[in-house]
Amino acid sequence: MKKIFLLIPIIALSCNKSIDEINKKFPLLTPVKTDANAGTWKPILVSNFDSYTPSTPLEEQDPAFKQQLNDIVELQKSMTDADMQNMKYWGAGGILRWNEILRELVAKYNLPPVNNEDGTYPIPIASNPLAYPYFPFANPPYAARAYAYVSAAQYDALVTAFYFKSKSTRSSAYLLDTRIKRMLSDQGIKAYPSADGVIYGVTSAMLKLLFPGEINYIDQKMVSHKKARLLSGLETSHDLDAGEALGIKVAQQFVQRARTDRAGAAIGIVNGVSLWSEFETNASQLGEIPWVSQETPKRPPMLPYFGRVKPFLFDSATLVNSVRPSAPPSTNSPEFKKELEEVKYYSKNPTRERIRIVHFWGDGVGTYTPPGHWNAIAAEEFVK
Amino acid sequence: MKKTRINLTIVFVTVLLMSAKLNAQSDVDAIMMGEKLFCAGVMNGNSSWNQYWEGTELRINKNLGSIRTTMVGPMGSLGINKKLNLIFSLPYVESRASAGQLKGFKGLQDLSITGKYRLLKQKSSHSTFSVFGIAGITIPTNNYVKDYLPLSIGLGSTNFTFRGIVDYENRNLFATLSSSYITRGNVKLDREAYYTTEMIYSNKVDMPNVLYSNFRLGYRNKELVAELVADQWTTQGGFDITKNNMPFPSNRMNQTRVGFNGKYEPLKWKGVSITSAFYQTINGRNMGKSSLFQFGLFYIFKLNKKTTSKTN
Repeated sequence: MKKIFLLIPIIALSCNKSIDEINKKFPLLTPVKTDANAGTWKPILVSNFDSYTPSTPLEEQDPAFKQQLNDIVELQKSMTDADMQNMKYWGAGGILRWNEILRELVAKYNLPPVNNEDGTYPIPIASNPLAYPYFPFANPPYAARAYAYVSAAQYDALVTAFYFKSKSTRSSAYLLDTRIKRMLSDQGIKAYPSADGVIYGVTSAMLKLLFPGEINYIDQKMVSHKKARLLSGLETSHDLDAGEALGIKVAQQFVQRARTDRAGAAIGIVNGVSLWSEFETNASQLGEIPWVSQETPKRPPMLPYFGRVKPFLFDSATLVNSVRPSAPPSTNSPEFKKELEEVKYYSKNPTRERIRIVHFWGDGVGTYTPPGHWNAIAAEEFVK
Repeated sequence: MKKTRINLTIVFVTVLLMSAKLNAQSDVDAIMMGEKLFCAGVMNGNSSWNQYWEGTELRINKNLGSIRTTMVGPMGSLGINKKLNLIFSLPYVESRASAGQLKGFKGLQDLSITGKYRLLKQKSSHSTFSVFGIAGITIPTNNYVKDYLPLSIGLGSTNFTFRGIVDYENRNLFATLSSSYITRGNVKLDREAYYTTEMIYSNKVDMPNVLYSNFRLGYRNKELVAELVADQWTTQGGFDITKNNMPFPSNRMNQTRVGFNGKYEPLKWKGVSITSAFYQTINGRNMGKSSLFQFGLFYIFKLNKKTTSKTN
């Protein structure tokens, strides 16, 4: 019997508590195609590449440029294990990692504010993001828009960068100085302006707009991304800075669009007065059962006019005429009642497997939301 | 029954916000079952709260109202010999919220098996000093939902408990102090990513370990045990519930309680014992400010008729 008790601590101490995180095992990016002609692809918002022309690159013989090559040599000499890990982390792909960072910020900010004493709910304010209620409340519509903007801006910025790369003669850093080691795979595309620089430039600018309370965090990520690329031996500071500047410039165009895409009006408050009762009145007049918040106190609808936000790929007329689905069945119709019964059936018969499915796709409070879930799925597909 | 002492109040029904966590009191006191005696019975616990600590801030939530947890289940204690006891429990737990949209859960929770060994016993004229070592394991009996606090019926981790107990008895007055370290295994969720203070892309949760202390002061004789109890559950790590978020299994859950525990073994009903307890949470973190009532009914079986039941 005593032996059994001796065994318990041994089992307990030998239990491996470490957790395998899928994203920490992503392999280094090794593209099947280099897409060297990506500069010919059609951007979403950018119309005139030439207005984004980067500054003239330093001559290879320029002492300032030589100094930058030398900096890489020194940096690689003093590379620590943490540096190596950081380089590999970003080596899985800049777009992939920044998408992860975006999902993380969405999850952090996806918290509905607590009600005020009087039963109303405070509204987050973009200009004061760190005072409660924190800005933004990254609910699913807000998140969907954030994912769209970041991805669209990254796409345009990269297309623009590849346009200028095709005109560049700048080789990868390790080819210009034999003391520099190549630490990641080289796609054989010109280094100026750097694609990774473009990615952190454009993404950080977009994230600072969408999550203004996270500027320090975003800057830290940008610094670590830049360091990872310098250590890779592929790009100089000069290449990266030109990329970053280009990325920020492209982001400005998206920021400008975001300020006028009607998202600000999606909350449904005009001159301090809410339009929320409009939905209830309209539904009642049509003889339908209106949506009413089931929370205590009743919470206002979540960005109810989000449907009026300007889409990226088509205009309002196309939206109304070809994209908008037909009206839902009446709450009095047999069709609706049948569908309601189906929902009720599952609610009354919650097997463990059904609960698992519900929780797997729940994507509720404090998560990266349903659009984020699909971004996560895409990311995992992407690395395969 | 005679001098055999058992004590089967539960120390931990509903510790964790809502999740009932069962822990036989007999593994935090200094009372032993005699050799070849088996005490078995049923415990019932009812806990409720309408305020909880979100991090360190005490609040209410009108979308939960009050949370009530009921626990019922068999408990038992087996005297292997006079120095070694085996204690088990297996609660069935049901949870519900009085308001809001969250549905409660019910089901069989964790099986707990604990060995209690008396390492030392020193007697002088009127007093006794004893030291005990305890090791136990708690295993979830099924894959119940963990990620639905405060309405999950448990946290779902496999735990190992190591405890030292010292007890001093002078005539009928006694004081017992114990300290425990509880290691908790990873928990598996139904989703593949979650946010703590950072995003984690895994369905496994690293559960912080726990330090648990218990102090008891009271009176005991052949018929009666009456004691005041204070205890403290301190999670070694974990994070705070963010504002208006749901709780999470690896939150830093802390709790300080004070309570009263009583056990009555009527001399005329040989072998029967009745236990009853009340605990009030007075301080906490990421847990409910709960009140807990317990009641238990037990009977002692002699496994070997020839044994003269003997305790302490």
